[in-house]
Amino acid sequence: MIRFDPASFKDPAGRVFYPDGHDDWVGRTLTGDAHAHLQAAYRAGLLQALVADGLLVESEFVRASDLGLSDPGIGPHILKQRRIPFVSYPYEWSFEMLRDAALTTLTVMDRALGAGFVLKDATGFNILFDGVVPKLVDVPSIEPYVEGRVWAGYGQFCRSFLFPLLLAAYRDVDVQAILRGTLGEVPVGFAANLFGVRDYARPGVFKDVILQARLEHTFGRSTVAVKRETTAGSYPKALLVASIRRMRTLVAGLKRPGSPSEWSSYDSDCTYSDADQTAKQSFVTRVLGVRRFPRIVDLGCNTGTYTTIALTCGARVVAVDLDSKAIDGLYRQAARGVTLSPVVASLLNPTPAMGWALQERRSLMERISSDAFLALALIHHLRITGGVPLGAIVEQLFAIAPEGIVEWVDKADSQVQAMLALRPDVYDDYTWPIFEALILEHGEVVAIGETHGGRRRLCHVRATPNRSVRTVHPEA
Amino acid sequence: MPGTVGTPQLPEPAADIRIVTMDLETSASLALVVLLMATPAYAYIDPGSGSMLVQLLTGGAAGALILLRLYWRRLKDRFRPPAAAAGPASPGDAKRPEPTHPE
Repeated sequence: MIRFDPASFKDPAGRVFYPDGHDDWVGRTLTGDAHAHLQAAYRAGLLQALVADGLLVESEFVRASDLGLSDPGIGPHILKQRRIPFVSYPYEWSFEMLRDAALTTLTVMDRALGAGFVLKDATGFNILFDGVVPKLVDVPSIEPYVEGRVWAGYGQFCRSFLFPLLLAAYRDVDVQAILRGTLGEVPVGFAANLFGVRDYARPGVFKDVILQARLEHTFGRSTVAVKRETTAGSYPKALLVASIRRMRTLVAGLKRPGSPSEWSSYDSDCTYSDADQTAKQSFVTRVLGVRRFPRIVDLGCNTGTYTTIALTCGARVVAVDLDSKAIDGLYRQAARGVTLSPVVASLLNPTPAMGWALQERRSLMERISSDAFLALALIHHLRITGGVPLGAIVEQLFAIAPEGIVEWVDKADSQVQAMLALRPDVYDDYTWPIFEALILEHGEVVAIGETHGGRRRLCHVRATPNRSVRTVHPEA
Repeated sequence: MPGTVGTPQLPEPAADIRIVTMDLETSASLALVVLLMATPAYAYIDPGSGSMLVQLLTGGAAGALILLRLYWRRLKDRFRPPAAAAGPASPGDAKRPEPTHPE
């Protein structure tokens, strides 16, 4: 038995499916044409070279019959691909992640052209982060180059990568919200309207955004005439290669303005003394060192001090923070082979399920289930800034993982005092006895480590298996 | 202005036309043409034409000629008398309402 990925319906050349009983690989169906094209790319040495250079996820041709698959929807040839353990989406990537994914797309396109192939599309969803390395997974996107053609994937590349990157670099906006709202593709007219006249002189803006928007506006409905003209076969390959390299140079040079965000500087100017910091780190190191969780999700990871400890303890870590610049910092310093998946997201507004029938792209909560959570210096933000009742917070943590470390931050703490300075204290449930009781409703407190003279408590907590828990609904 | 209908057409680009990389002046004048040709917005816009054409634009003189030809056709269609406009739909005309779904 197999299960088709509900997101994989747009390209009939290669539908993704998950085989029962295997969690280390996924399959892609191949039509006769797609199989022939990819065989040609294999014979040209392109696929092997891309895999060797870490640009393409490991893939092999297999016969469906050899795997005992006889599902009528599959066909005789399939592509078997190593499964990437954690899937994040473009609207969960930081600026640098999006930029590196764009560079992977352009590099693959350049290399493909060199071997007589192209990428027929260029959506951000064709790329997955294998840890911190962006790789093309939609291998059937590779097809033979037709002499004289422009790049059909250029428009999609712009909407998926170039427009959000230019907006982030030149207007200093977080692009995750825009990419989320547009399901990963910022429309050209939308992007054009966000640039001011002063931006026109900056690289990429006038030609790739403004001019494209104007042409789209004028000829958007003249598709037959445009197709006739653009497929006449007069565009030289040398120009196509040059335009890919021009975009590569443009993208590689884009930088997010360097102002440190509120969170990115948190580590250096937070209220922790050296002794408290050391005590906190040794508590986390001790718990993770003893328990050796295979997977850990670090909720509110900031610049990744505790993510790094979790990685050192051998875990595969999903590190989540709402601050894209903090994730940029974490991503930038990560070594290439590290088992880290950085994610820009907020627990107060986690990535929802999106797309067709809300099944095309999965919600964050469906993807971050783990063996353990870290919730350090987090719950006061959820309770006081977010207004989420304490009971709902505890329930959510145990829904993500059955065990973890949660840091209790008392009302007397200076951070909480700062939060309460400009708002009435309506958080009657925010007390240690209530918090402890809520934990005990789900399971047990295995160990407690105090810092800040008792105003902060690190709690190693564990849910009791199969315990039925009272459902707490957050009040408005 | 029916008199403009008879204006001579731009020459069709020859198939073997030499490709010349566009200089700044050409880009600037083409950009001016593009920006002056404002048309009303439509709710339905196929997200492909602009991205294909903008590539031709940097593709040198041949690409520029293709674009000029498309613009010329639009201009011509705009001044075409109503009788002629009632004929088979010209794909170059974005202003004419189409009874069926385009493409």
